[in-house]
Amino acid sequence: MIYQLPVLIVVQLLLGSFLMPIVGRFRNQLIPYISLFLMALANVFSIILLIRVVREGNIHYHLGNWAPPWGIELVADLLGAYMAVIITGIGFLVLVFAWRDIQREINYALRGWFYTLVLLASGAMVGMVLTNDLFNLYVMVEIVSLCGPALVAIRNNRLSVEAGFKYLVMIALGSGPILFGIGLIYMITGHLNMTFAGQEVLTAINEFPRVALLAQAFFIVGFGVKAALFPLHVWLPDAYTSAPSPSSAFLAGLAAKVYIIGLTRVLFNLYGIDILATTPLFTILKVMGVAGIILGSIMALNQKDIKRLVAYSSVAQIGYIFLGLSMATGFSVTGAVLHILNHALIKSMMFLCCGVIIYQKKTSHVDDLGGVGKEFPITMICFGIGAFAMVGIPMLNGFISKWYISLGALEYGGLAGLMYLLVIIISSLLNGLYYLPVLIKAFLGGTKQQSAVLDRVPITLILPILVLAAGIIILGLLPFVPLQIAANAAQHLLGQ
Amino acid sequence: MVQGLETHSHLPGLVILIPIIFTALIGFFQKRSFLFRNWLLIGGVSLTFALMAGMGFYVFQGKTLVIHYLEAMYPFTITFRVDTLSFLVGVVAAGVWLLCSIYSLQYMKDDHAPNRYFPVHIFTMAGALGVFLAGNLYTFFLFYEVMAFSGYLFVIHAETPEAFKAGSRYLMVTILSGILVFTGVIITFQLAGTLDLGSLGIIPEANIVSLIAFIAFIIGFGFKAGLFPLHTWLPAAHPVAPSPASALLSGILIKTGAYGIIRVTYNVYGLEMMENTGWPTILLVFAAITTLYGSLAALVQDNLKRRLAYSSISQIGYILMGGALLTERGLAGDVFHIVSHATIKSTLFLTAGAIITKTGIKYVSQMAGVGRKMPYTMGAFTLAALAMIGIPPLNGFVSKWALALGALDAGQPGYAVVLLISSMLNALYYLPIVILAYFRKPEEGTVLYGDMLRYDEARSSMLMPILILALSLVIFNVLPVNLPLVLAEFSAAALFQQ
Repeated sequence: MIYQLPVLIVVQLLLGSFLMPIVGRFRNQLIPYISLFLMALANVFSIILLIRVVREGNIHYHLGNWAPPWGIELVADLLGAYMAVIITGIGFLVLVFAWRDIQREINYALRGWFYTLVLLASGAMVGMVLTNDLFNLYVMVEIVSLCGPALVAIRNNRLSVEAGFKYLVMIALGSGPILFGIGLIYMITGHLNMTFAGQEVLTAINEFPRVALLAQAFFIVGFGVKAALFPLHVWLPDAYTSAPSPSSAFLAGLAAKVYIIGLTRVLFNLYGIDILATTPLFTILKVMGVAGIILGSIMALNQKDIKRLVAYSSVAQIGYIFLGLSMATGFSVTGAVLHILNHALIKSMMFLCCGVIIYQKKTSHVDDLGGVGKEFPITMICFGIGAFAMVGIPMLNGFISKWYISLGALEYGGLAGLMYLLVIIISSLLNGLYYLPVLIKAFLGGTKQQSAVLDRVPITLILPILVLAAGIIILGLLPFVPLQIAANAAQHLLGQ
Repeated sequence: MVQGLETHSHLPGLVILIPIIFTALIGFFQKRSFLFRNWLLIGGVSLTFALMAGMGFYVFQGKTLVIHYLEAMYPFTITFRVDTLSFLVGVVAAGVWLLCSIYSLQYMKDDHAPNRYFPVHIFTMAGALGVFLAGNLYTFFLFYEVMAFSGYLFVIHAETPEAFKAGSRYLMVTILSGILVFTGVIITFQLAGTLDLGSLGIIPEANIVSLIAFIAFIIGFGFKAGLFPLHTWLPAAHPVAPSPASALLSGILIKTGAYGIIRVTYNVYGLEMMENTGWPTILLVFAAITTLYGSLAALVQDNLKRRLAYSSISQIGYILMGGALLTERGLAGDVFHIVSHATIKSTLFLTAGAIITKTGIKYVSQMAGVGRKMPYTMGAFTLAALAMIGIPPLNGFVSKWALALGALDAGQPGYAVVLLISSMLNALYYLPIVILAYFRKPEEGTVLYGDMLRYDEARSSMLMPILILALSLVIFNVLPVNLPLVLAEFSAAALFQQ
């Protein structure tokens, strides 16, 4: 049973998503319950899987019992199981939030589809992080890529359809290069399984050095567009701003991250750190990461819509993750892997907080937020926790990942390392500069008459936010478990 | 005194935990009964002070209290470490906090937002004490940020446009200071592999990277302390904060910067490396400029609290100078002046607050006749002003004496001259206030409210803390053993062990 878990998680989520429209035909109100149950079950399975992987090492599953070079293989390694827990956990909380929220944000006829899309996307994401097969990876990437724009456009107003379309075009542009890259790898190695292809690449790269490099370039561009790596990020602010809040939380917390994991797998598992070090790839990623950190933060400074502000901050945080990965030192990769979790918690929570504000006030313009901290103290305090975690105040999880990425920059050494440290520090400053005015406005602005209504919003909206905020504090105070997992995953990726 | 004896004790943890618990209690109960809130505030702060003073039992035996929490989370371990220096600074901070709490009950009674002020008041105490008792740089940084960000709520308390303006400046400085200290901390960890503050020097070698960390530390802490080109937030923030909060900002919170610099210089880099590299000279020069600049700028201020704020800047210059001289007596003077300036400056700000509540006077030029109306308050003000100038037997004299000796030990008599000049300037900007208050008749129409000629003292709950603080300026220095001085000398000796 435990060895079936990797496939079970994926299959039950995918099956569940196909089931939802059928359930919707008979009993519409059952949809949230069934999807919540399936997501919770998936989360429990992922946690069991993670514990198992931590205790006993990787679990290999051969689909249809076809052995690897021919069949599709799922490998639950530390990174994959860790991501599966994050995906299903955040997915569950987003579904809880969506339960009441989408009643105001999404048309009646489209509500069932929201659950279908979230389950489908989560299933595909878990598949993406667990698979060891390149073509299977591509299929999962495509599923997630198509769910994303649909989750944006589901709000069905002019802005969201436009943003969804833009997202669709951009992300579809990314699919082609990924497929080309996979094709080229298949051509030079004759394998689609990453382990086997990885062994062949070592010899193939001498025969076809240009082809191997070209494939690398295709992968970066393809996954880069989907993960909103800096100059390719243009779809992100519009999409996250105009999507319904639960979709924004889901996409911002997870969608960008799984592509980063996909890219990491392709690069590190296929090529290996030794080959990567001989190509200019890391330099490109570092430059783009740094540009994303600085320019994303500067763009966020000028935003007047709170969701857009949070969205631009995502661009900067993705830059952090890419910078950490591409410095390729033990600490920096640890920090990047950790930041995937931490940023998923923080960003999902902040979008959900925006969701509560929009749910009640029907506005997300910063100027209209005067005094909302007095009206919705719990929500805005949680938003504040998220903001301080972003700035990197100790005892909050953002500090831990910032610490490791900075330490990685110092470990990288030399003038370049100090420059990266400077970039990280400047971005913390900018984070403070764009988040704190919002908080000041929320708590100290507004009129004196505004009094606390103590978040008179449904408990299902507040609860996921509180869980995420608790997660931020607990992981900031006791980062031991994710830290160990991230450190081991980093060691594995770097082949130490 | 030997610092080797380490005792495990949860006392430091309790000292931090109690204010945090009471913050929650106050936040919970204050809407129901303000009387109960007052008791909670005084009770919480007194309990903290009592526990802090109770650590003296161990410290006087020459023991160092050490406690680690979350040890498995290394390097994110929360460690408290109370040696003589931590104890002295901590106990003074807690004492001043207690007096300011008593004072604030009356001062903030009719204020517009007491429900924000009181929780922040006690919460900031946890932050400040956490900084003083921190046993590693992570803990230090953690509480430093907590204290700095909650201090923002002190600055903007009045919610006027000037307050928000000063607040944004304070916030900017806080973030900058935080990230610079972070830089220093992370480079220290990379170079030394530890963040522990228990040994004398953990940085293995002096190179360009450790110099960068040193400069980051100096600038980061300099922002907080109000070192010369970085001081601009300070005169903006102090006048707009409520008086008990300005007393704490000026008396305690800016000292965390000076304390941080001592810890970095002696515990992180170590005396030997500092002597060999000569890096503290940068600090020394800027500290001397700060001293003179602060005094000169104070001369021309008419706003009383602004004048006091500039005076704080000049006094911070003394303190930083004492540490940067790298002599044992200089350091003792530094530590002692942290203590004496904390008491003197909080006396001055509390009297300024009493004058504001009673008469509405905010400007020095309006102060004629205040001495007759409020003789006790003005008496305390005069005493503190004399202490600032450095008249024996007040504590200001003792610290200046020690600092001057330290400068001579270091073979830098120039800095003793700086002290002398600054003392003269102190006299020039403090004594006119005193003369005006006692010997001038009030002019018509200068006073906002109240009859200037009639005796009308502040309420006793405000007067008592002021008088206790004023008494403390004298009492320790006329006793046969000057306890704070002895403790300061011990802490300096401990940091100079080779």
